[in-house]
Amino acid sequence: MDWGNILSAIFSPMSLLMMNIGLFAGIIIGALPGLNVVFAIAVLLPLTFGMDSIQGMYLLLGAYCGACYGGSISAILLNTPGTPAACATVFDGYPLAQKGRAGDALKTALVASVVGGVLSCLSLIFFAPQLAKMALSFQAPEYFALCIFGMSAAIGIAGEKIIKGLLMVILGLFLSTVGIDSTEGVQRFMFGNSYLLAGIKPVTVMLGIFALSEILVKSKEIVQGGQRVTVIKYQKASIRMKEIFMYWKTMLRSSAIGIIIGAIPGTGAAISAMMSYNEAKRMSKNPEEFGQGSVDGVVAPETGNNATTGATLIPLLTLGIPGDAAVAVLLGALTMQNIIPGPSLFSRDNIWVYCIMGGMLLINIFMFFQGSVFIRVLANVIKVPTVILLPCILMLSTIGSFAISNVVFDVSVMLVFGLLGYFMKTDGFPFPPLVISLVLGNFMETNLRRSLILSKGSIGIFFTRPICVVILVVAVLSLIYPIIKRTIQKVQMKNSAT
Amino acid sequence: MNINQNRRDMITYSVLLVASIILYFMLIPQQIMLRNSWSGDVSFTSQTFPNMLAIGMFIISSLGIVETQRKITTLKKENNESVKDSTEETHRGIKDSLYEKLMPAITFLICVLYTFLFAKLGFILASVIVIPIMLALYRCKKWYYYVSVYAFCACLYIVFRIMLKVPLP
Repeated sequence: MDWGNILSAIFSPMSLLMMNIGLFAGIIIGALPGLNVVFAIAVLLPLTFGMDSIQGMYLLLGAYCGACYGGSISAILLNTPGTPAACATVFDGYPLAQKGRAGDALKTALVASVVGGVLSCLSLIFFAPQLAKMALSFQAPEYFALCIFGMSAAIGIAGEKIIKGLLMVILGLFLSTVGIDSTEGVQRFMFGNSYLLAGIKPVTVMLGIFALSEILVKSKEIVQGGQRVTVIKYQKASIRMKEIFMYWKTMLRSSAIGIIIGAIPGTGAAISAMMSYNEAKRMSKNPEEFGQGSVDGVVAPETGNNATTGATLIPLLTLGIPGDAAVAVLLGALTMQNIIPGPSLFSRDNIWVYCIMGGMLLINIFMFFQGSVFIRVLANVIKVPTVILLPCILMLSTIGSFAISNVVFDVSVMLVFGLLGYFMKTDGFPFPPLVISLVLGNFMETNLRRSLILSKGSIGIFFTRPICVVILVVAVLSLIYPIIKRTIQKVQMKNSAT
Repeated sequence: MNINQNRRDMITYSVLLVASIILYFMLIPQQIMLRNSWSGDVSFTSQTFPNMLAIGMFIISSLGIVETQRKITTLKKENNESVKDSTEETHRGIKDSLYEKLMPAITFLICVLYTFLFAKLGFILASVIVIPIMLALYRCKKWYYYVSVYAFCACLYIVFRIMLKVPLP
């Protein structure tokens, strides 16, 4: 292991710059209500095309970590979470700010986020190589089963909208078949258009459904007058680090929750934040203080949501399975950079993944310094009017789509998916299943084909390999669990009513 | 979820059902030419995966239609609503409601216009022309908002064209 090269790659000036730019942009985007983590990564993704792969990943990982933290700023000052991951921070962050302790709440959120992020990185550094060794024994059937698991988990994100989630998966898989069939070299769904030779690029789809659709949704909100919200003024923090670290048990517990949830595909930072908050309240000696401005109530969700950031990279880097939509965009970025996730990344000669893991740790440390120094600037970001944001998002999305291959056709694709994304939003169709299946589609088909060739056409191959069976059973359970849970709840309600 | 939303879902599922039939019988055979597989295995061809997806879409859309119909029937029984659902919207001023409803469509048309001008005139001219149209549409009267957006446009140009050397039109 060439530690010299790893350290020089991590600490090169360009790498440090990209980490900080990504962090700053991510915190700002995360702080703006309505723009989420996925949006932050999707809009910065085009910037990475001309970059070295490590530096490009630092930019995106910086945005990922920054956006997870940034949502707490508007949660605390505006009573509106900037990202879904900050949904639980509102419960105690805003009441704490209303008591005149906005600075304390912001500082607590920052420290908690950094602690969660650092512990998550350490779990990535320790567990990822071990899982990669296990993945060496995986063959085509196991990878196909993992794809099924990833998609069923993505549908699980959709909650009760299972049918809509399934349809989005199918749509994503269909889109992944556009272009040249990699096995037989046959054109599929190209309609005579040579621009579709390489297929539909996931980046344009993501820019369309996340960025452009947001423009369409927010344009209606502007005309409707929007919500007049009171922004709490930022006050300097008086809380000391020692007082924040008095909640070290909550930090450790929430980090563990975040790491476990982050490592499981189909979950995400929002679930982690809620579970961490609930557990902290349950284990607290003063649960009645929760919801009234308890510092513990800010520590728990912020630690929990940032603790998912490193852990979600475990299935991504070792197996190539994205844990959520944000990581699916990262997978798209890896594909653009010709980096193939999997056990080969962890070979002795390949320093790339160790640079990423080390860089991720540094990003969380930088987040502490950026948050401390720029908190006043960041607190003012939430005052940026939506009417300024929309043309900026349009320009950024257009250039971003164009920059992929320097063809305007990609911008047209982005427009189409922007419109589709708008209708998906208004009709309640979830995005993560579409994004994840689009990214995994080719991989899934290839492994399905390989498996059937190995077994001479028999699908029994998926049911005779133990690891494959276990993964498929978990996939089916994760899909039907919401239905079972809902049925049990209905029965319980009926019983309690009678 | 109200009846209107369920009806929209019903329409969506119906469209997808029809789309799956068109895909299976028309588009897939037309768009994907079969050839002998180099591996000698003819059970899995370039059409197999898309066909599986089309069948899946058919089944799930059908399930969606059945499920939505069940929900509509249940809601009607609970609310005793008539077949034609009248909501408050029909009693508000049509002008405002229509403007709000059309705003996403107008915004989308502006996005299309921007793309067209981006291709024909280039990034800078397209941005110079479209930005004030967009801001005016949202009734923006503060001059510094226009300046802010133009400043962002300039930053984007510097970052992509000069720093990243992306050849913009």
